[in-house]
Amino acid sequence: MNCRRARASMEAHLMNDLHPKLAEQLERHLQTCPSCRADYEELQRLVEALRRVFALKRQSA
Amino acid sequence: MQYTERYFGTEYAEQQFFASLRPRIERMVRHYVRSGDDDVEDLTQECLIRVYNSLESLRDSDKLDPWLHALVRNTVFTWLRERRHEMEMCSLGLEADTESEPYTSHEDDTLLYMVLQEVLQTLSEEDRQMIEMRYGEGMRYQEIAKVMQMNVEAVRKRINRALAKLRAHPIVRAITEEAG
Repeated sequence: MNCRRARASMEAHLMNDLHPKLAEQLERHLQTCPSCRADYEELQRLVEALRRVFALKRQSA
Repeated sequence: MQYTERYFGTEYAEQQFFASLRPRIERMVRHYVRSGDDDVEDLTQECLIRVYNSLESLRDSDKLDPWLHALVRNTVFTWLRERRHEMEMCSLGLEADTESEPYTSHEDDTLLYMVLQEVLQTLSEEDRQMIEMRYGEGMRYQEIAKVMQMNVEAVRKRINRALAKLRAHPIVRAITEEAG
């Protein structure tokens, strides 16, 4: 998997919405590409924050 | 003071202006910071000093509110970054400060939530709905596509574009980049 494909697959992987075969390819790519790994971790923090924002919104509704 | 003449005319008017500003700024600071009255007071004072020093950059007095919000937000964010740095130095034993409270990421989290809520409002209604379905409801692309009556690829692209817009916000970027 190249970097472009990896970046396009990150969000789906974080949401457990990626085909297992692609997930495996992405994980292998992340192990060898520090730049994509950093990008993935940054996206992960944003996704977690969004989940908390909506969880808080539900609680306060 | 040059700006005093330009903006207020008299020293009394200037004093009145800053006196009226203090509670407004304090409310804004409290919106972001919940770590204690001392911090809120220090930050409020810091914001007032920044207002005093940079009021000349405000060209349109009708835009005082958004200008003030931006100033307070930037001041709070700078403070959070400095505080994080101090705590990191402390944990490395470079500069022991026994008076400091243990660092938690609570302030950054609070700020990130606030900023995200704000930035979400800049998305189109459709994009916001899709983001909420995805991260609020945990729905899959196929499910969102069905609700939105769009094809799956279009949903995936719209969500990724919306995420890129959120990530482009300077405060969101700074917090998510530095948290790791």
